[in-house]
Amino acid sequence: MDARGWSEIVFTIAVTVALAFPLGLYMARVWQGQSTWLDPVLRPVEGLLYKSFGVKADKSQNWLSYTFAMLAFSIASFLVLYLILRFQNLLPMNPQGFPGTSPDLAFNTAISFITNTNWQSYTPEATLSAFSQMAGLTSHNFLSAAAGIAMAAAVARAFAANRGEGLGNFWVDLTRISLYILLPISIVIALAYVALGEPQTLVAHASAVGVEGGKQTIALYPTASQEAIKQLGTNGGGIFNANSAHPFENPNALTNFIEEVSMNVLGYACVIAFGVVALARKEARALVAVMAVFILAASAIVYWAETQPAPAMHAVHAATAVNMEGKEVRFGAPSTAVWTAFTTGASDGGVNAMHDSYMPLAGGVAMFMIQLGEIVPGGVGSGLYGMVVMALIAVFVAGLMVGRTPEYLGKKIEAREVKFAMLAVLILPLSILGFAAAAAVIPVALKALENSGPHGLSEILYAYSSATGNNGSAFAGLSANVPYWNSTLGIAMLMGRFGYVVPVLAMAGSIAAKPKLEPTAGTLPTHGPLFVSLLIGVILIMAGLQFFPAQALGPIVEHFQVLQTVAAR
Amino acid sequence: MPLNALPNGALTLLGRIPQSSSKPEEERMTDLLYLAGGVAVLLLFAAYAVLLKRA
Repeated sequence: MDARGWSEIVFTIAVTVALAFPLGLYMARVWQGQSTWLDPVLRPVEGLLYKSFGVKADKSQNWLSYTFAMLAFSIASFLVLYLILRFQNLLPMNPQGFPGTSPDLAFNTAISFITNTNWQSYTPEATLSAFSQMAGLTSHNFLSAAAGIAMAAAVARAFAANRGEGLGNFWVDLTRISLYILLPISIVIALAYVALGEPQTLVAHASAVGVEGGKQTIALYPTASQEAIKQLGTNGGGIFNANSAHPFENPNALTNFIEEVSMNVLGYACVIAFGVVALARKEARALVAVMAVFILAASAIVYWAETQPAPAMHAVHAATAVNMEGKEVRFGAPSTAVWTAFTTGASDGGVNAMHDSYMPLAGGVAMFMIQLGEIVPGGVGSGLYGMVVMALIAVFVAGLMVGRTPEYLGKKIEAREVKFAMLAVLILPLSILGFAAAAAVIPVALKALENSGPHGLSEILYAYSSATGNNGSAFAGLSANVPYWNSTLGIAMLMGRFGYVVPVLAMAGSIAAKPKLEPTAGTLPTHGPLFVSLLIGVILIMAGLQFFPAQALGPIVEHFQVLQTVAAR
Repeated sequence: MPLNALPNGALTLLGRIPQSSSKPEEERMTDLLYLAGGVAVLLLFAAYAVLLKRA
């Protein structure tokens, strides 16, 4: 650990949060249908799309209609993507002649990309054609991210409403967010990546001769365009198996920095936009502060852990202050640490190092960030509504302590809203711990593990945490491209996405119908340090109670084994 | 008795997810199973939404 490393971590977080403010103000204009500087170009396209698909843009939907629209869109996306993957051998842009994927892999991958998870059980450059990557996966990188942001916009409108019913129009939100936010920013970032050395080509591969004279075939793809939306939309699915550790996906320190910033900036921006729409800017800043505190703490712990003596290094008497196993030399420990916090806090899942090779505590922190519910700052949109759920639980707890009906942003929070909030929150332990417990005793599941003992349990726990949290990063050490894992992880992804958002939208509908109240002397302030501390405590206690026992059997016990090994030497 | 040998249990079902087959007619059935399964789970969430509306 050194000052340069710490300053790099703080600088990256500070730049990300700072950029989120102007972006959030712009996003609020898009959510509210207000004019933007892109109107001259995009308004005609937007109108054409509504006309083509028969969308009545001025018709607001109640929460149930909004939910049905979102689910109908997801069903159509699932079917189309499944068929693209299964029949890619019959589709264009397949010069490598890849066959269609297996049914279980198509199931897993289709769900993975419609839920914004981007878990990848396969090696992309050896499995998927350019058509599957572009028309199948990259397009869903946009659409699944836009769907997440749309639901955040709906929740924001619920808090702005005064005895209202409408949460907006899902189809309008999906269109405007894709056109005005994701597409233009992705184009700018993709051009920057191309300038910084990432390939953008439809040529299948390049040939090269290595230093020892061996011939190499190096896979190529339109990487820069995929990479831009991969991080911006907190998708995380790489075009290469090594993800952002691959030099084509992440060639240098500058691309690494841009990727880090872009994978968190929209998460924070959603909160700022929420503050504008719900007329609660100070409260939104408090939520941003909570998110940034978690990210800073996680980065610090990972950085500290990864600069401790590693047993393998001790064994060979290597004098090194950093555990470089699984890390890229061009990034080092600080960039890897802040990336780890960003990618696991944001439901992104892209990696620039192998989490399986981390020291146990760092791996445990990565897993815990996912288990918090992907809310710091979370996936685009999903982080915002997840954090709002936590804020409601926090004001409910505070209300219980002082004996007052809790309020949040001018809305009374009553039993109905709290029940919906808890239904959403409880889906995480149900899916993560339920599937992990089953996998830990079923022989066909255990066959996929490459490690036994606590590390093996960590691999199982991480996989279901990643799937349910719609993160998508893998801990490695798990050969998941088999029917059992593809199927159960697919269902876990569906539970994590839709099992969470359906009660959240129901909660939003209930909140929208309530009158908007003015704060009184008895209203708990929800923008100061007291509330920030309360919210941090509630989040930690909720996740701790749910997942600490399982963590204790995985990364925590492994940490003590490492201490024992180092002490013995 | 190993857990996955328990009759009619959820663990048994999880442990018996069919392996992929190279036979085209069996693959078509597997495709149908996965497509119908995915759509069915998503429709269950729609039913869940209706249930919450009525709650």
